[in-house]
Amino acid sequence: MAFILAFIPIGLILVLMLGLRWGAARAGGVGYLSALVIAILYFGAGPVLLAFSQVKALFLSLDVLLIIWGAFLLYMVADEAGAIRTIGRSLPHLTADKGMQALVIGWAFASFLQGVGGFGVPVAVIAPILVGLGFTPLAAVIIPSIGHGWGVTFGSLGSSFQALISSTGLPAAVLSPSSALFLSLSGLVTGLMVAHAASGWQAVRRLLKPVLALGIVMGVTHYFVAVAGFWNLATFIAGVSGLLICFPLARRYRPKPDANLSNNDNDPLDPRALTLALSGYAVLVLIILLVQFVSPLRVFLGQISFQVAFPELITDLQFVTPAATRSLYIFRHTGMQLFYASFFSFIFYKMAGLYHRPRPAACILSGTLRKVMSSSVSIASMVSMAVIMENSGMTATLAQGLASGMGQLFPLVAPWIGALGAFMTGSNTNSNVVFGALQLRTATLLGYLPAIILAGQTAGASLASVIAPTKVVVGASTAGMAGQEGEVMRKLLIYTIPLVLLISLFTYLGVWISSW
Amino acid sequence: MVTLLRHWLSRNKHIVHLIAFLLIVIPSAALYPVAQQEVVTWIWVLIFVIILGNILVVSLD
Repeated sequence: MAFILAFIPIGLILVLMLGLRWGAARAGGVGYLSALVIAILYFGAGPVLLAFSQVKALFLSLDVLLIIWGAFLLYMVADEAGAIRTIGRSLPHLTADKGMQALVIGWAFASFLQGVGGFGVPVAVIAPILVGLGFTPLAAVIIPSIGHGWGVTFGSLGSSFQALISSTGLPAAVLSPSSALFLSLSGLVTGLMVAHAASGWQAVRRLLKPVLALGIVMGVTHYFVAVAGFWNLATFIAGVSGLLICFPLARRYRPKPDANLSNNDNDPLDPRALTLALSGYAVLVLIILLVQFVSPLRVFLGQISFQVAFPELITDLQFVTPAATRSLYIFRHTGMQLFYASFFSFIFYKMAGLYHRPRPAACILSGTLRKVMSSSVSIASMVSMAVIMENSGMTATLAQGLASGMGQLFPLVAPWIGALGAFMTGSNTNSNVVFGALQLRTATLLGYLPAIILAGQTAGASLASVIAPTKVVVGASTAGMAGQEGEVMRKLLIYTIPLVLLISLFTYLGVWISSW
Repeated sequence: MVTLLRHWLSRNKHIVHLIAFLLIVIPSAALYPVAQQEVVTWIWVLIFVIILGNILVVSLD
């Protein structure tokens, strides 16, 4: 009974978005309302618990929304200057093949962005570029979403992996080999899926060699960097290595012309225009790298933070959420880095004379405001729902139900628990925080090697985080598909379910091999 | 009247979303001091406003 009730909010969202094709904002509202009612009536959530949950949700929402607002602003700054159109016209000169463009931008570049930024930035930045290149809006969201999923655990400078270490108390040396192996292997499969999402099975066959080359280079780099102890740089360095071989690979790879190729022979490459157009994104990468690696700057930007202390919360059913303090380092937040990039890019584009309409700043700001509102509401509702479920014990009930119901098949289920956590909270990090200890406890009870089960947890969460409604909203809205999130999620599920199944298989095999 | 209202709502979605967002966010921030002092009546009032914000979004076509 408790399991069924705990599942209702998620089930409703799935049915409304996937079945009835509602937008995320409306479905999120229903999910929130149902979670609230069930938490109060069945799970014994009192007013104080609900109040602190709502504040916590506001904090988490701001964490995500800053990135969405910043990404949109940067996109509008570039679009108003004609930069997106210029990139769209210029990149086919590198490779005219749509599938190869998808691999370069939607896989290697997306992995790089996940390594340095994360938190939805890869999809928010790349989807509009792909639309500009002539991809359908749906494909423009799907490609970078799949392309960066394998790098989430060790991306964002390892924040999700750090959460796994913190929640389980196990050292990185124990956790990293199996986690890195599972994700590196799945990375190769994501490459094939990116090719498929770009141009179908024909592209998978045609692009097998570049996918293998890129996948092996990025995967091997990812694995060895993580195992060598530099796990916080694994996705970043894998992304850089991918980009380094991507460009010569794209130039060497000259497919036969077919219907999928863009014909740009009559549109000569203008290096100056392309450099100017790319400068906005170059500024973004430069700012992210400076903030991450220049310690004095990082310390300076981290001087001002919002810190909110949350007391221990207990439901009437005695489910306890430990006391915690949440911090928001506003000026070095990834979203703020997008705002800095937007500001400097605007000045740069303005000095270069790329704005032709009067009062470009007003046009950019009003355009941004119009586009972000739907996403902002849906994220506020869905994060509220997730936090209420977490603090009232609904999430734990779901996880325990899944684990106890499966018994000896638990290794197959562990990645799905991680995936469920990522789907609900929109984050691999949050999934590891919520389910890390539970997975460790269950693995120990059932006599499985914890490192393998936890690798399944974080890899499942990493790959499934791309279908989290919050991320889908980001991708859909940046590609001009706001209100059609159900369609995006439906398509993403086609790629994500086999990936999580693959991780289930790896986990099962890992447990089997380790039992010898 | 209801039809006219629904028509206006669907034509001005971004304004409605902005209003709903404010109805969710502002009471959420206000809940922190109220929750610290455990003023139950105000907690329910503020949560009711948040519920209204969500209902407003759900009512949009």
